[in-house]
Amino acid sequence: MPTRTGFPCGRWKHILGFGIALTFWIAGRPHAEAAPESARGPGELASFLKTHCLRCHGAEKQSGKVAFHTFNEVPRPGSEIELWKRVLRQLESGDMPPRTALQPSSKERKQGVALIHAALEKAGHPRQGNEVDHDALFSGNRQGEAPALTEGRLWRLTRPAYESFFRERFKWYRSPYQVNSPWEMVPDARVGFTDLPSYHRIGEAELEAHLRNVVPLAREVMKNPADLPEVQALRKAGKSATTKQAEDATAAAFRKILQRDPSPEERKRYAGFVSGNLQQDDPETAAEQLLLAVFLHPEVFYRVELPREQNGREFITPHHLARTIAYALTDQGPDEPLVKAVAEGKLATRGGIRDQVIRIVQDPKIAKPRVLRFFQEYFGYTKAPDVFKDAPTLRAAEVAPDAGRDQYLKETWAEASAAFVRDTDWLILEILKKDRKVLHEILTTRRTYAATPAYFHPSESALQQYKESHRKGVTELGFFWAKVIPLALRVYEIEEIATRRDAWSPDRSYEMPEGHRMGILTHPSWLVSHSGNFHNDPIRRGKWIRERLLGQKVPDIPITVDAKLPDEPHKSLRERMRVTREAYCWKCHQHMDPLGLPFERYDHFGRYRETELGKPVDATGRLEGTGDSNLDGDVKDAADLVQWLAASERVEQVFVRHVFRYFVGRNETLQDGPVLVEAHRAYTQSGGSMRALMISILTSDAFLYRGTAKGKVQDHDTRRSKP
Amino acid sequence: MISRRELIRGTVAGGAMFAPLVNALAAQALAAHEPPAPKRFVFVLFENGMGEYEVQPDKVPLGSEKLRELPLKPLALPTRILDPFTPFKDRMTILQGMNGKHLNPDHGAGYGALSGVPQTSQDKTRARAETIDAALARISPGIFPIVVLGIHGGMSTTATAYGVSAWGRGKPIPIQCRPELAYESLFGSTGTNRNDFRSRKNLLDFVAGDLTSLKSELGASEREQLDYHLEALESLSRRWGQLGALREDGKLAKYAPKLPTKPAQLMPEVITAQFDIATAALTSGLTNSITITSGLGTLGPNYKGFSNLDQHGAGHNEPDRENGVRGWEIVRRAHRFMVERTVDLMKKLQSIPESGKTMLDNTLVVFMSDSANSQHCDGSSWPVVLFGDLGGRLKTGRLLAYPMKASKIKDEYGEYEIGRGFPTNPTLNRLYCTLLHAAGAPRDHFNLTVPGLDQHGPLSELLS
Repeated sequence: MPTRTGFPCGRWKHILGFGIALTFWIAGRPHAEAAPESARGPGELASFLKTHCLRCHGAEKQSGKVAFHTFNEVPRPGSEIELWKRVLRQLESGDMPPRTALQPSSKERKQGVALIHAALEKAGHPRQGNEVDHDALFSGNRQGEAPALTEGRLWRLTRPAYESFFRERFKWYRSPYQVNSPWEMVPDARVGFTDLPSYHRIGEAELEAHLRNVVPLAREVMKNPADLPEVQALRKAGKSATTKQAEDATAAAFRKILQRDPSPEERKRYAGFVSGNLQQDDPETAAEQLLLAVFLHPEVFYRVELPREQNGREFITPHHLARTIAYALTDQGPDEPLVKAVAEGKLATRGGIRDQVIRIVQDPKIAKPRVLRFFQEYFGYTKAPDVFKDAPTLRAAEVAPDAGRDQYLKETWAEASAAFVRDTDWLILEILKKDRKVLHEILTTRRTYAATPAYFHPSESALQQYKESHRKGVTELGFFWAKVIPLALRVYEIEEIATRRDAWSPDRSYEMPEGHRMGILTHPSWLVSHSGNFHNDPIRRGKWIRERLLGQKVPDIPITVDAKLPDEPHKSLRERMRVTREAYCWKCHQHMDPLGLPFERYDHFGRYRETELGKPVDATGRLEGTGDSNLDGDVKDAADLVQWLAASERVEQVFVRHVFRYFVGRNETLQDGPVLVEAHRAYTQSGGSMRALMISILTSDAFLYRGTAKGKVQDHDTRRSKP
Repeated sequence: MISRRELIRGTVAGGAMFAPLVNALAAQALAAHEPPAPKRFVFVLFENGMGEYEVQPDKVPLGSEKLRELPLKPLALPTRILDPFTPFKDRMTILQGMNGKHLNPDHGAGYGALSGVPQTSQDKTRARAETIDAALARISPGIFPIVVLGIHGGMSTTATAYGVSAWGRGKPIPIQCRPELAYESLFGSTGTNRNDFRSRKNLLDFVAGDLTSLKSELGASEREQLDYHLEALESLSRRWGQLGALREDGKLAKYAPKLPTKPAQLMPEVITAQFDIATAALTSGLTNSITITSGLGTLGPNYKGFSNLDQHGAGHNEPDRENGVRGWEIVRRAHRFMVERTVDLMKKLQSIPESGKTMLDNTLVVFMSDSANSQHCDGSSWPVVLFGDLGGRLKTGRLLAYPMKASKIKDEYGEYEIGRGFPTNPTLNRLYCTLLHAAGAPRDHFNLTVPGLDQHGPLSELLS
């Protein structure tokens, strides 16, 4: 691992000076310089508020109708918690106290923030995600303590998982192929992931849309006399159906739709429902209602993750654990071996669970789209086609000089930006297949796939199939016969293809020029995804690095700020960004701009450049306040920046934190420290294997255990009715 | 005695028209015996901004350092998009220079346009607070508390979307983007005698039991999630019970609008169908609150039916060579079409007597873009057009222009004035406070407590 020891002493002094002068709190390291836990308490918080807040927000004066003098030691639920959080944000961002008032020192501000965090934690609102002190999380000090509790929860199926739910079970019918998921997967801006259990809810619209999906399916099934004979028998019996017939029909519908038998209570309840309907409605409607009732069961919408036993922490019940494992990695329900493992009671032991997790993770034939989706969402490189570049901008930048009409120009760019994303998908799959130093490789490789066609959904097995079919002589016509070289290939500057068109093949990766590219952050897919309509976006890029790679937090832009750069077309973006260096702006921008500006080496179409507006590009930047002393220092350009980041253990650990969030489905807390330490160990000891990392997390307590305060869940497996 | 329902049925369903005298007598009778008419709220939102020059009456300069209040009567409405509203000038209020900078409306403000919650661009798609249409809908609930209809230009496969209205934090209200599905929700399946509403009510009541049994096993926030699901089941069940009764009476079929035999595909077709559904939903009393949105809080894919240009490119004034015009002209045509359909809706409401007046007299229409004054905008000047006085609580027939700096822009079709509102101008949140005051549910703050912004209380210059 490189260190900065080779730098001259003066530079160290500079770094040290800056470190002391750092006046802004970064959430990634709040404890580092805060007062010791034992020295802090409610009295200290009261004293802080008295000194800095109560003059304007106290008994005598309530600016903005906000007052703190009635604050409790532990904030009360509801509006008081919300108010505390607001105070926290204002304090973190430096917006409060106002500039005209007495300012707390940097240390005092950090202490104030830490005190409010402590009070919120007492009220059951722990620090989460990047708010958690990184060093404390990986300190190893929490070994032996009770791990964090993942509470019993419902996790709405992903859009593809919902759709395949019906196709798996009713593959010979027509209706399942017309099913559209009632929900979109919108990424949460704060975390960037689309699929965390706390985000998504089922409301009226989703229910109505769901019914539109399942009503035609239920009717189609009812028309097939060969399917669900128990339900057909019930329909034929009509009003004279016996209780046993109703129970058998219930059990058959459960097995078909939910892949399990009903519990005795469910059997009785559903049978009662259908019997009642048979007396009131015509038999077709009553039988249809039975199917619809099962189609509206919570397991059709959610991964139901509940503990097996009441109180304390327990494994998720085997049937649901099988679904949890399957849906964590794939868009399908449990496969046959997993269902068999449930039936044989193997998911009741840690060893049995581990075997199943390893089997699925290691088997390349099992498509695991959620793994690729993690990388797509973590790096955020799939947005490139959504960043609109208008025709005049494309033309002025001579992006595709051979494109004639504006419409063709735009289409050329649209295809190139979509190809950037596909190429990155395939590249990540290739790196995952090798499974060595995965993060480092993604961050540093100069390789890229080149203009891969759109007709294969990227997956490990699809890549294999694709390569095989290509070798058998299935030629690619698109580029080979095209009049011009596809734009994406020109942006990549792949010499091999530029000189020999027949060298192009969509089933392999190519090297981009040395010195021009360094991993995914310099790939056009990431650069364009993190650009604006008309220019680069160093602020967003810097924020991304600060949050996603360094695990720190940058406050949102204060709403009172008019965030516009001067309109000076003859000046470079770096020059125009001088406005962010004003003292008030720089408090936040110092954490973003120096990390984003090295990417000025590329224009906002992702093309490498040496000059901008006729002058040499200044692509220098700086790593500062990273929490890793080896990392801090100047960088000469994006490649230099990325090399430092890729070599950092902290960056690796932050990556592990994000993998944890994605697969466990919640933000980490300090109590998750041991799980993260172990996951990171698994990753490093395996030589940077993503599979080892996933296995570690998917067999951790955080993933397997659920806890509730009270109540006992019916274990469908152990309560299965005897024949 | 003629019931209000019977009276409305005759006019809405295209039945026998009443003679004016009969109308008047019936209205008087209704006024004497029936409870006060419900207040109705219609929000029409659209993408790509509505420029100040598109709402500023002719010959009235835009720039001014002071608040100006001018009667509309002697002024001509600008002909670009707004002049079809001329017959309703006496009910109209044009607001210029409202401050929405904190909503970051560049490319559409998403939920922020109606919630007024300060937001970054990343927050726009998250329901973080109650929106004004939902707040007003609570005052006057119908069988459907609110109906939100969307027009997703060029995407005929989008059934449901989110991004404009919300009951509160984490409680987005779905936007129904397909007219035939919105129709089915409101009026039931077409071409069948089965009363699906009834049987579905029983079904939902039953399946709620499966969810309830899980509740005790969940953590606090997860329980909230479950409650949301349960509330949805209960609400749907309640509604379907009511609709089942109406369907059995044959009333729904009579109120239902006639949809085109072929599902609407092009943007003008979808706009027309959604406005028809909105009109029928209001006049039948199924709901008292409608929000219609094109762009869905941001930008839709394209303007199919008006142009093959994408909505983004059109907002950038890119050339449309097929139609021989530039993008802003396409945007203008689409927005004018929205104006014309809004006028149709208002005329229909005006034709229906209610409590001695007309349905339109009890209706407030809010016409605005969710993208302030243009696609790329900072929200410092957000034009809004209102219709209706909410029972005499709002002053109407006026231009209310807050201080603005004016500058000029030019395209092939002319030169226009655009504005930049003063930072001290009242925020949209104050307008929303005003509407709540006028509607009888006063609030002095609406989702905004940020020092330095004009946010407190209703706009006295708007209240009568």
